[in-house]
Amino acid sequence: MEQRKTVVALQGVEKAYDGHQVVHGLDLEVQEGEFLTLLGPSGCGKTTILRMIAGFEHPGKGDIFLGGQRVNDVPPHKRDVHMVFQNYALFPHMTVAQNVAFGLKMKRLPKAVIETEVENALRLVKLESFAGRKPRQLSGGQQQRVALARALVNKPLVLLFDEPLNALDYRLRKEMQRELRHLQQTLKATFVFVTHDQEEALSMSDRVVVMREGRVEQTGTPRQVYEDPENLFVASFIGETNVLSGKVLEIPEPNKLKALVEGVVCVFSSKRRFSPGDSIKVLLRPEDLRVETLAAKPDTEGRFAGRIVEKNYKGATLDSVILLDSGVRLLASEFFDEEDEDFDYQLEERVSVGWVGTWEVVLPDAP
Amino acid sequence: MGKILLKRAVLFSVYAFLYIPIVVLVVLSFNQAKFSTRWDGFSLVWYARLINNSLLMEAALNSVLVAVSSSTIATLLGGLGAFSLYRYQFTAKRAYYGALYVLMISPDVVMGISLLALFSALRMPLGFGTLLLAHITLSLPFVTVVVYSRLSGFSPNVIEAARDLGASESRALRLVVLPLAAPAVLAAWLLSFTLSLDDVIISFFVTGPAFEILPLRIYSMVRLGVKPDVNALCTVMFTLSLALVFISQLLLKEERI
Repeated sequence: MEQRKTVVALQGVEKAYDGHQVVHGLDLEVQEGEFLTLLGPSGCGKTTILRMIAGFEHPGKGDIFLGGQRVNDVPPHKRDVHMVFQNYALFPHMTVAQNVAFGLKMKRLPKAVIETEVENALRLVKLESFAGRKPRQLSGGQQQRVALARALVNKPLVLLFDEPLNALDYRLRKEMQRELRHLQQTLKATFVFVTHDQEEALSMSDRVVVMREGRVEQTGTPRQVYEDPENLFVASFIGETNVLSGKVLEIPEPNKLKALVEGVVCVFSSKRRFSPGDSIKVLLRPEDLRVETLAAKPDTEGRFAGRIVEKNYKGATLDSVILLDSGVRLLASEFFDEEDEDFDYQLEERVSVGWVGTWEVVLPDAP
Repeated sequence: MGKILLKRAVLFSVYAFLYIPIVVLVVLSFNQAKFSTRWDGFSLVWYARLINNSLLMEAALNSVLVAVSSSTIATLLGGLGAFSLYRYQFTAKRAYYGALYVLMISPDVVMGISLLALFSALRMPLGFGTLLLAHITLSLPFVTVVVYSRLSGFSPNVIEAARDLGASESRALRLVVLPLAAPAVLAAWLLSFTLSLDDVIISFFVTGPAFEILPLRIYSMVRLGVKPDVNALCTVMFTLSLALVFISQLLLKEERI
């Protein structure tokens, strides 16, 4: 793979408001043509990071580089980055075309150039017939596109998105996600996206940075953070997960461990090193669980026994809650099997729960 | 049925009570009779008399001069104040804003006397200068509140968006904030103008004999009985104020996003 250029780099960046630390010693690099998402619950500092890259906030410590240049003291209007705001922040007194032309006008480009560029940008977001409208005459989705075009048209080094899809309804949001991803790939643009929605982050990004309280918890591809979370926070923030506690009994062979979990002796695989006596957390995704009725499979060796206490029909899947004999609840999400048309459980039915081997994640039980 | 009639009657009499005096005044200003109680036929004689009354015209000119300058200065200062309230975060911001309302509701008598006390403590001669300062003080809170309430209807992000797209702070102010605030700024100016033009109480305390303004001139005229030319004058002032307030409300009605 070719070596890509680093477009944005943050080195040891810290930020505090009134003595309250919002961002702790953050290192981050964004490569050219990358779709990077900062994901975390509200108040984790992700928007502050975006605002520091844009120049609206000054880092208390550390350095910010844009295209290799240190920009700590460069004001926002002299930075080659543009932001799409959460509430779009369109200029209400200007038409759609005037909104999009604003950045080019600031660069004092010739009129003819501005006109063609604006036209192109509006075509890109499928709003060419709305050029003469005022923002208030547009729907939320259309306003969103104008905001996008207004930033895109300037071909910045990097485009920043501050939770721009929050105000849209579910379907429009999905549509915009696909469109954004498509645009980013066709234009080979660099996007830094901020969201608290893990589904959004996973479906659009090349890389996801999971954050909590101003610190990076994990950086990786969507697949890495979902399938191989580095800690409990990442595991439970991204997607639903079942967390079980246990104790290591022995290490039968490298990358394997035998442990007592919820009163059952099981064998897990893990690349992490453990020793007998260690407390562990075992993470099992609901879709990796396999539920069998005792009637169909009486052997519960290495499986968790319990009973069905809740079931939710979800269309594509059947989600059931199993109360284990140890008192722990497990959520299982199973696809309907075409060969088994009667696939369903009775409430209070006795079942045993297994999982797809080696898909479990074992973490040391540390705070 | 009777209940509805009663309701209508009450409504009608309240409005009649409020408006009949004004209507009578306007009608009588066109009355040819010298004694205002009898209708002697339509005439513009009192309006002609008005124009030829040099004392009155001078007072009117003074009033307009004070109104124009005080509302211009108040609009500038108040507009800047509104902008800072909108754009910047600073300590006790709410207190500053609240203090404007205190000024707005404080009785004119109190304001007049306190300003007079201030001016005499500073040994300032009463006249145009003191009147101007007093009227700026009177209008300032109204201007700030009118402009601020318009600005606060817009997301503060629009300035950031302008800055982000390459506009310096002053260009963002000129290209984005000013056009957005413009209707409110104009409305605030008109409002200050009428406030200044109509004010009697504060002006009574803070102007000197050398500088007479219209409301005070009228006040001294009616002490010797209401003459028809006062009716004409009041009709002119009423129409002017009404028009200005109407225009300012139209400006403020403009849709926002």
